[in-house]
Amino acid sequence: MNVAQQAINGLVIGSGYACVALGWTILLGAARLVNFAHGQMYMLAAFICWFILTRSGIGYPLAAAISIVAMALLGVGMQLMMGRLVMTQNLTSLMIVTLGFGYILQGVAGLLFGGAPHTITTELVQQKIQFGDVWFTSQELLIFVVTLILYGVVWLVLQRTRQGAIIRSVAEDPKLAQLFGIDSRSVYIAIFVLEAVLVALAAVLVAPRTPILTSMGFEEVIITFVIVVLGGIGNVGGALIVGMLLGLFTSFFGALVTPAYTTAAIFAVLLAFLIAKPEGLRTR
Amino acid sequence: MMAAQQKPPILRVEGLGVRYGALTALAEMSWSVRDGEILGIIGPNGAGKSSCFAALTNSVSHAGDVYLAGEAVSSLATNELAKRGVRRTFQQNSFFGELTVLENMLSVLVGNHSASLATSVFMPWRQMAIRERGIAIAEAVLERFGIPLTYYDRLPGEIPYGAQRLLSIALAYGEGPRVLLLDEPAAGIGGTDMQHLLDVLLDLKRTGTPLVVIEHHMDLIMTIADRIVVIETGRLLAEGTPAEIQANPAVLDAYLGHAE
Repeated sequence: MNVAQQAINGLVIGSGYACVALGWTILLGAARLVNFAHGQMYMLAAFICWFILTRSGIGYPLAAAISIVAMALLGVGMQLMMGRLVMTQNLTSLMIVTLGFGYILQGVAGLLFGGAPHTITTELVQQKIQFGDVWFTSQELLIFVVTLILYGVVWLVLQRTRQGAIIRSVAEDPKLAQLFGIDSRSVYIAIFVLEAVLVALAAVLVAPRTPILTSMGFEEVIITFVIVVLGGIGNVGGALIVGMLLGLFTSFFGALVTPAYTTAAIFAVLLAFLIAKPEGLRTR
Repeated sequence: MMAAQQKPPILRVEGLGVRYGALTALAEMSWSVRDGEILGIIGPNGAGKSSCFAALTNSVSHAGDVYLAGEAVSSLATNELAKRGVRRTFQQNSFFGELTVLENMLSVLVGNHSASLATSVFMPWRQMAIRERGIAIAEAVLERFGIPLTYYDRLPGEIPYGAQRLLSIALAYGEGPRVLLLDEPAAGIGGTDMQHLLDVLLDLKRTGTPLVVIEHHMDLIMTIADRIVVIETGRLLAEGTPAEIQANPAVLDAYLGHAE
């Protein structure tokens, strides 16, 4: 086994995981909202990008941008529909509603795009970067770098800016925040749009690595859930670390044992971790 | 005196009405509060006192009009009113339970004492200076409301009840509202805490913050209020100075029952 190569694969897989999980980390941690349609939104963003690339002459960057804008609009629509549930922090109903919304997205995508696997082809996936006996693609480098930048920016916004402080108080108590002059409804819409944009960005970056299927949403939301919970619900730094570790685990487990049982093994790790440390990586 | 009479009241409500289904919680309610004045609102439980606050901050749908310094503001959302300086507290404590006392105070000051993303990224030293200044102001407000320094890093739930009540008022006060609405600030406190609260309220009045205070504690409200409005079953029963209210037969009737 080439340990260095497996480590690089692990970091690439891990930054992909972390990138996909970022939107939900903010949603759950900073705003106490859940979105079980997260995985299907990932799927839909990937398919919109694929559709544009295959049916028009538009290049990858622009197709990706269109896909992100489309998801942002979808995010606004979802949040407007769920507005009342969100203001009353009715998490159980939100869970069911978003889960249902996810299956609707999956059904619609199935009708539009069919059940066969497709691939998003980008030039960056074909560009190999070689160092001695290890290699990775330009796309993988892009995923890694963009993920680190996104986490840095999000951490800065949440910890060091007015918007971050406003989001924290809305997360604590949206009705009380209104009495302190904060427009909680708009803040929720903004957070949800951010979630949609981040998951779309993750999709157009990560999805080109593997074939895409309209049924892949569930797998994505499960991995995201594991990262968010292990990271310590809403702990941005924690999610990044857990995402990377999970990627390394996936890579080495696949190489040393078998790739077939990776998901099961990930859940075994989740169980063991939560039994030992129920609060995850959360500090307070 | 003449000049004060000519200026519009800082807050005036006119014909406020609130219905919860078939129940009329409040009807035809009108009162006003002037600069530097404390208006007391008293009445039996369920009389509609808190509905007054809910209606005028637009937290419930209601009839009637609200004027802030003469300007009609009935259609403004709760947060818009708060931005314009109409701040309230609740019978229950109103703070963020999972933020420390100091973080609570900072979150209230967020509009004026926080940095933009650009500042945080490109001028981190400025962001730190803004934060330091915000902390200084937050500490000054907490100190003014008599919340001891040793509580700043605690969660609100961990500090004594009297201090929690004062924290709720301090948060509503923020950097100085145009009018402060307090819903039973003395609920559940007594002894030295009560004296402390009295001092804080009189200090607010002295420094020019008009207050509307709903209170069951008669000693407190009769001591601090300039005028008192009595509400019974959602309607205005009487209005006047504390002395007038204490001598009003209709009020005595409502509070003590009919001597039949």
